[in-house]
Parts: sequence; structure tokens; C-alpha cells
Amino acid sequence: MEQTVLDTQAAADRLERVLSRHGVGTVQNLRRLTGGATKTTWSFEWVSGGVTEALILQQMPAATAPARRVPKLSAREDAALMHVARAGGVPAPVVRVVLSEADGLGEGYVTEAVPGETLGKRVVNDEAFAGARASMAQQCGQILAAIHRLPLQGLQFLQTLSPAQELDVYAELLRDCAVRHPALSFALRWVREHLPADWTPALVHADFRTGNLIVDPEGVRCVLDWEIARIGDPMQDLGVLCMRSWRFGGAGEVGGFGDREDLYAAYETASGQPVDRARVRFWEAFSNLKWAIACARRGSAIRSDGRPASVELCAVGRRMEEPLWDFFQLIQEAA
Amino acid sequence: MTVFVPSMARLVQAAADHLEHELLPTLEGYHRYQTRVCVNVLRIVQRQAEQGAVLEAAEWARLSELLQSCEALPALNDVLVGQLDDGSLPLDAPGLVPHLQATLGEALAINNPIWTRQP
Repeated sequence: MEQTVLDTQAAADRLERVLSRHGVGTVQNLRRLTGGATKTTWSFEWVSGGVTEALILQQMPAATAPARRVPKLSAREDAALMHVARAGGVPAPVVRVVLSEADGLGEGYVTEAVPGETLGKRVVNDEAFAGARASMAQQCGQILAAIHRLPLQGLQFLQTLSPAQELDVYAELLRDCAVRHPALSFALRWVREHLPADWTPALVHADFRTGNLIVDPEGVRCVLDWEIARIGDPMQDLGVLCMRSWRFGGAGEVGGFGDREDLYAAYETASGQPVDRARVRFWEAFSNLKWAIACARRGSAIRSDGRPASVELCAVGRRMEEPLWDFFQLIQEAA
Repeated sequence: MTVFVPSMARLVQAAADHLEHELLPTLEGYHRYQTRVCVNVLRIVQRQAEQGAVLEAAEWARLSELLQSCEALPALNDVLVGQLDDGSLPLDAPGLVPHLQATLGEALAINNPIWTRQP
């Protein structure tokens, strides 16, 4: 969880050296943006040859051992996936440079900035996005169908996770952080007893939700945060998008902005595949358990000297009961 | 225990009020966000100081009934986790789900009271 904190001027100097490999220019207005508990996002302007471009720098924390248990793409893999996604008609970021170790900026990449809003509360509430909200459930269904049919050639680094393997991974993550909680134990057993038998493997984004989408008044402009993508059950993505944790108080069951039936109908039309409603609900419940375990892990994260990792991660720990509460609501609706 | 003036809850409330009403309006960007998080954390501590003991008593009463034991709350929760993990307690055991939901509701009363009221 720890990461190198560079002062802004030092980061700007290093960034300027990286980008100048492709033409001399200057970095201006480098600003650390809010949000992102596990990676650092900066915005800046690149001025080169009299042209000013808005770009984004993302720095990931150094990989933590043991690697590969949870799917977590390196910056290079993440960039390769976003390239394939764009080629397949998915609005993913355009990567300009993948950082190398010699750049002194940690692991990460520079992408073109996409104008629009990511903050969940604004996306689901602001009047400016009222028109966008009316069509976003449909758009999300179309985008998810496009993600799920992306070709997997060249993406051998993607891990395949069956629902049972995914449960094993999260049960182990919970054991690692030594949080013992009756509701977590109950939920792990419930998921184990309700694992789907039939599922067709596809590329799954796994974090496709409000907050990870750039939205403008026309609708979804860009899908961010591809680093936990894997090959799995595509119904997972529909379940995550419907979690109440990512509705930010908005009314629609889809992301706080739309109706389930609009999402499902658009997905079915675009993919030619039926949406298994019960399996989406299963994934919504399971995803709530996963988020609860992630909260437990973040809330117990420490620095090397034993102090809490950050106030932000501590605060996320105290959100653990929110998805667990929703988990019990969901399994009772399903019963 | 000695009488603390102000109480823990009032002490934390004063700090949170200062951050929220005096410091926060002067900040922007990264530090505004982090300070907002600090205010939220202190409000959680305030509610736990105010309500924690009463909510724990309610949890203990349900759990001692469920497990037919009068041990202290941490020990009872440890037994419940053990029985859920090893499969000896069925998931449809009478009173189990209502107890777990009530306990989550009590934790949310401290951590984020609006969560159980929103649709």
C-alpha cells in the first residue's frame, strides 16, 4: 500500500524527460487529483510544438507479494488490454507512454485526458447529466457486450477465474488480514453453496461501475480502471454495475442512474446472448462480499512501521458493513 | 473511572467541528478531500463513544440466546465464526440471519447511519 510520494516539481521534471523522447515540450499545471485509494492520478498539460494537450499520469504502487493471486495487471499489461479494448470499439483510454523503471516515476502510464465527470455523486445527481442518465443503462449494456466479445489473442497474461476459484481467492485474502466477522463467514458459506454451475468464459472488466466511468452530458465517454480484468463469467460485470455501493445515493438500480431492464435488454440485443437474471443477482451478492473483504483489508492495512496505512484506507474499513447489509437484502430477495 | 470533562464524544465533536467548519472551507483539491475524510472518521468515533456500549449490550443479549452461553461478547463472536466456518451451524438456524442483520444495522448506526434508511 505504500508508494513513493514525489514532490510535484520533481514529478513534473521526470515526466517532461519521459515525454520529450517523442518530441521536446514542457509539462504544465501538474496536479494530483482526488480519489483513488490504491493509485495516484495526476492531470497535466503537455505543450509541444505550439500545441497544448491535456494528459493524465497514473502511478500504481509497486507490486506486492505474493503476486498473481488476485488478478492485478501490470501497467504494461493494462495498457495492452486498453489498446485491444479500443480496437474492439470499447471507449477505453488512449495510452501515450508506458513508464519504465528508468523514468523514476514508478509503474504507470500516461493517457490522453477525456473531458467529463467521474465523481459518482455528480454523475447520479447533477442536472447537467440528466440527459446522460436517461441513456446510460442502455449504453452500459452495449459497452459490456462489446467488452465480453473482445478477442483474447495477445492477452495471454489475463488470469482465468472460475466462480469457485474467485471465492477461494477472496477467502484466502480474508484469512490473510485476520479479520473474523460472523457476517463474512456466513456470506462465504452462502456463496460456496450457490456457485453457478454453467458459465461461458469471456473477458470481464470486473470493476465496471459508476465512479470508473467518465461521463459527459451525452453519456459514457470512457471506461477506466482495467487493472483487475480477468477471464470469467460475464454476468459478473452486470452484477457489479448494479451494486448499491456504487449508486452513490442515486435512484436507479443500475449504477444509480438506470433501470435493470434497460441494461439487460440492451445487453441482450448487442450480444445476442440472454441475460441470466438469477446469475446477475448471485454476482451482485458475491460482489458485495468481495467489496466487504476489500474493506476489511484496507481497514487493516499498515505501513512498515506499524502505523495505519492512511486515514482514507482506515475510513474505507468502516464501510465494510454497507455491502454486508446489502448482501443479506439480496439473498432474502432471491429466496 | 474518573469524570472526564468534556466527555470523549464531546471532545471528538469539537475537533470534528473545527475541521469541518473552519479548516475545510479554506482547502481545495487533495487536502480538502483528505480533510473531509478526517471529519467523517471523527464523526464515527463520536457516534461510537455515544452509542457503542448500548449497541454492544443488545448484540450480546441476542448472541447469548442464540448460542446458549453467557461468555463475553468477543468470545461468543469467536464461537459463532468457528461454527459458521466449520459448517456445524446451519445457515438457516433459527435467529441466525436476524441476528447478523441486526448486528450489521447496529454497526451502520455508528459507521454510516443513512445506509439502512436509503432504498
